Amino acid sequence: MAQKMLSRRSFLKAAGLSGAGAILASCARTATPTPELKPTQATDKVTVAPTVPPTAAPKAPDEIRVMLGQFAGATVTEQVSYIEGLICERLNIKFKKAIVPGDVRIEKRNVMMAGGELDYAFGAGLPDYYDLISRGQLLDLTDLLPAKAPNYWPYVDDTMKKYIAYKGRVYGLIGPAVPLKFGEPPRADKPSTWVRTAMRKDWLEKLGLQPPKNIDEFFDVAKAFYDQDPGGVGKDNIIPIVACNGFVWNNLDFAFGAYGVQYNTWYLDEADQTVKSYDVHPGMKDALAWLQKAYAANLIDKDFITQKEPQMLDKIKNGYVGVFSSHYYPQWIGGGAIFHEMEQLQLIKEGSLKEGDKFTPDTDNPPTYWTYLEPPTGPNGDSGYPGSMGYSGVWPGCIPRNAKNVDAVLKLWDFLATEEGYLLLNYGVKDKDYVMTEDKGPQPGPAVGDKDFATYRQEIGCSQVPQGWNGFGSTYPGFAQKYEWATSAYSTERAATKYGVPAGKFGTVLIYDMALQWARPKYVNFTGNQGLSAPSAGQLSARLAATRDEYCAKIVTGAFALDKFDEFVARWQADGGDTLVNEYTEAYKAKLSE
Amino acid sequence: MKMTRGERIFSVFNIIFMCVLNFIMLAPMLYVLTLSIMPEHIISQHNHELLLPIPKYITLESYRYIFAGNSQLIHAYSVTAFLVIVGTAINIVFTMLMAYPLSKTDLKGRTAVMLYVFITMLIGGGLIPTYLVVKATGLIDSLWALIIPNLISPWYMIIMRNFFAALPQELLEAAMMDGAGEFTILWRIVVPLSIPVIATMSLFYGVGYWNNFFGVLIYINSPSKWTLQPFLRQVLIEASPRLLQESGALQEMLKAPPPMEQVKMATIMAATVPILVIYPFVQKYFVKGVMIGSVKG
Amino acid sequence: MNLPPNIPLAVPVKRSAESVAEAPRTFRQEFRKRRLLYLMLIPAIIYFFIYRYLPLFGVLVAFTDYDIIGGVFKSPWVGLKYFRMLFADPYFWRVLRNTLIISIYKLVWGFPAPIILALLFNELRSQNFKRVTQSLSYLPNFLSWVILYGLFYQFLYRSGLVNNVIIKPLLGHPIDFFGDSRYFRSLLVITDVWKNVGWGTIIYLAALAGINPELYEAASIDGAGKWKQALHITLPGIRSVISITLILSMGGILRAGFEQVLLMQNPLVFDVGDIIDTFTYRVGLVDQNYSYSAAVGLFQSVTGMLLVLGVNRVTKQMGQEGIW
Repeated sequence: MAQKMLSRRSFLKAAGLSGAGAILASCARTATPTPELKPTQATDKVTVAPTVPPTAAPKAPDEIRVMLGQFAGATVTEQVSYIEGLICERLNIKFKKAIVPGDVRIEKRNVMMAGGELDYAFGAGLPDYYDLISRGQLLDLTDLLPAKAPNYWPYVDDTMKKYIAYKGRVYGLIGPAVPLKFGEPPRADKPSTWVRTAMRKDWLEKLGLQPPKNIDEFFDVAKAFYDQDPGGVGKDNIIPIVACNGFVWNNLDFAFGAYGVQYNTWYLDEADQTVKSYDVHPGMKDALAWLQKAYAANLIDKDFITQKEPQMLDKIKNGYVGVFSSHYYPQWIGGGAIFHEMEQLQLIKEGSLKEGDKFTPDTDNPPTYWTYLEPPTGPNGDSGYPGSMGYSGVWPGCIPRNAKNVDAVLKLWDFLATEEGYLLLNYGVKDKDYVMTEDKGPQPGPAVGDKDFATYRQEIGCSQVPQGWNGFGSTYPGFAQKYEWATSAYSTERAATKYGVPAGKFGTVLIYDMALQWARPKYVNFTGNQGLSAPSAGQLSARLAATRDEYCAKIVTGAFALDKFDEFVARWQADGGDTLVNEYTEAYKAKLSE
Repeated sequence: MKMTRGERIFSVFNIIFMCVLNFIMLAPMLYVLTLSIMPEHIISQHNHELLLPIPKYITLESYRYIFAGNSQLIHAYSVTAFLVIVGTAINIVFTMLMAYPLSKTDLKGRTAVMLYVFITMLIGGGLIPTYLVVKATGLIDSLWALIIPNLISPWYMIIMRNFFAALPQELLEAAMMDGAGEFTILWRIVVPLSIPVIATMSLFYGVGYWNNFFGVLIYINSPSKWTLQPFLRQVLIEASPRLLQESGALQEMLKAPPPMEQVKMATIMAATVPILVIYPFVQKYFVKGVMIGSVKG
Repeated sequence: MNLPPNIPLAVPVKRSAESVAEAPRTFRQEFRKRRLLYLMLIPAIIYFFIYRYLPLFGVLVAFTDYDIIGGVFKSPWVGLKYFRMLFADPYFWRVLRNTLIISIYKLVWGFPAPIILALLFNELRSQNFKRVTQSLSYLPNFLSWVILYGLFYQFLYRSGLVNNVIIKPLLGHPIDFFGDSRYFRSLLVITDVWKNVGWGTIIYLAALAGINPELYEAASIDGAGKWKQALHITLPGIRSVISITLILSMGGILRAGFEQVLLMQNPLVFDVGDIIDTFTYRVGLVDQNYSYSAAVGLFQSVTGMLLVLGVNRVTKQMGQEGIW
């Protein structure tokens, strides 16, 4: 449960998750497009108009209202970027953006919605999305899309529907995926984020230890770090295992995974075909026992509940930390991308150590070298990280029931689904921002100069729409695939089949990959990703989450005995957990019979 | 005047107490200042026991990081300044207009109006109904939404009313006898006599604007109208100083980002320093206003 | 004289003495003048009606199953369903208890503190020292809780300055102010007093400023010492402000500081630190149970109102000035 509560946080992560677009766009300089980049000059380059009638008479542009979250590591601005300008001009639309601090965007949205006046489109994580649908707050797009967005509609295939359809109806929009480089396709073969664990390689070597494979070895290594202080930082400072924000920041998920559970995650019990929560699974008690033991042995950061990410990161950088887990964003340079920094500075070492590097140039701390760990296995051979933790790669753009500018939004989506729209959105203007080659697809155009793709895209505000609208619609790798230049130039087909997804039907929404990489499918949040909704979920989630967080925090820190977990289970069930189990199971059965 | 022995002892203790108090008030601020201008490793070396900065290590890196190319933050300062100045002025005028008639003890209907006001101090309609009213009056996404719905604080109005009621009434009556209208009296006599309370209320209102976060969140959609608080909150709660960065500078900074805590602390200072700068000027009038009359002859 | 020097005092005072004595006003004059006074009230009355009374229809939400699409008036009426739910909710009793305890602590420490401090300020002889001290004490009030949270976390967390310099040497182990149920309420109260004590003195200082200095002169001529003067002149002089402040603070007794608590609380201290407002925030705004949270809000308001009225009555009976 508690997906709602989590979804605020997960949304933060998902801002990075909606592909590199969000990332790049997040850093995009939109302030002042240089004169020669004025949208007007681009019109002659845009030639084909498959569905959208040419912008003929001077008519007032249609307004698209969209609510965006302002998240850490991502700056969205009101100003119209170069690319946005081109699209607006092309379609005779204009954007009106409401920008909301990311961590409280749901509150703001709910206030506007409760006022019955929300007419901004917005993005929602899947649990949130289904909750809104079941409350009747979103516009049903099923009948509108074929008529108003004929280019887009074919992409809403069975795979996509698996994620965004509710009782067979579609209420959300998924945006086109973002290429990462010139000559590289949108990535379907890699998740945009997952959890990874890194351990101090230099400490391991100093103590002559091997990277731990199972959860007991993990404990022993952490204990050795604490007892022997290989870094010489002092007993008071050394933190073998660091974490922040309690459990919801995924820093301790390796421990849950080892005991066959995940925090805040629903699963399908195959045996009795019931949808249940890992929060009250017996394995949760075992995981908490391990954490309690580790905490008592000073292996877990004593501040792990109260501190926030910056404190944690500073501890890591100070060389106090032995092992940590965090989200890994292959391309995100926004906040929290600690691994990215470490990789850039070549501190993640596979071979043996080199002298001379420093973690951050402005400290006098000794360099720290790290190695990635496989998630430790538990007594039953379980291991892994959460597959989705309440978010997934799917982040539908939603149009509220009262919205006034539905046609304009659909027009935009339809355009983005055309080849012209896709190229304009992702590469800019042909022969200026990019040139099209036979064999390598789009390549840097004259305006790009020496800059690399990412930098250039930042400058022109590429992919501001819609992926760069943080959280507004997630990416859909399928978009580019049908074009000749895309499939011939890239090996996406292979990448797709590798994970057992049929190539032609490019339904790989990113969750697939996340589940298959380090996460185990069993840890993918079942309810969210099966599109299951429970009528009471919205009303119970925050409360159940608070109860769970309280018990778990107190158990791990030793304020509660482990046996209190049984009390928690009873309370969880009585407070509405059982209701949710029943409702989700009902929903699942209903879905099966569909 | 000569002091008794008891009074002298009291006086000494009072001064010692005040010194301690000053230290308590100042210490957290000093600490944050120190954290914001000292390199992380020096802080660590001193086991987080530095209350004052060591001059030779002082670095302004984190401040550079915050302000480098960050026009949004600077813009937020000006929005906040607008709100504080214009909003407060409007509040004061309307609060005074209400408090003055109510200070007349013999005004018919006075009790009814007081009750009318008082009820609203106890029961509020809640967030969503208020939002609807603000929306209906067309203020959404306007800075006026932060001013007009809070036009008069009942609490401040009562304080002001009490102050007015305590003014020497003969003075006002005399002016009236001279044919001055109530508005003239209010402006010419009451206002000059009420500088203390006006200064106090201005500060009350002004601080309210300075610290308003929730109103901005709910009523303002465009970040160009964001005040400082949403930005600060982002940095301190969302916990990523990188939020403050716009593009280009980020790339450069990424190579050598200052420790996040240091940036956070610098953000706190950046939000506080304008007050520290402005405060002495306001304080001059303010203390004078409040203290008039307590200067014993 | 307790008036600013730039006001031409002498002349009007003189005149008033004469004119009040001789010229009784006619009814006509009276009405004309009063009309202006009523005119001044009009904007305020309109304002209160629109922004303070119109939203009150929102309390109706507590008696309905609020339907977002339909709005207040189309939602089905359910009577006291949500109040029954509220009183049957064990969690509600916990947050109510926490709220009361925190509020009362804050009142016990936070209410007298500014009065005492104002009196002490008043006794400072060096004007410069006084000014500096006062300024410093007002300073925290300019900082929002967001800032203060960041500041205090740094200052008070397990490896912060306070723990490293004071607590560890004394106790041998750090105190986790933020994560230990035993200390969390103290943290809330201390930081709240720290933020508000200086600022709170202002209203008392303003009241002190209004005390006629001649009274002190007369008293000291009569041989009354400082202590007696404080007891017999100063305290009675600010008594009405004290009683009004106290009465009004009763209205907020079920509101223990939403922003502060929301920022500082975490799962480790929910048992002592979760208050009605944070509970309502989760249940109402995040989970969208608008009716339930409206019921909680109404409960808070009505309780606050009853308390204010009750205390107002008591103070009046004790011969003090009430709020009206």
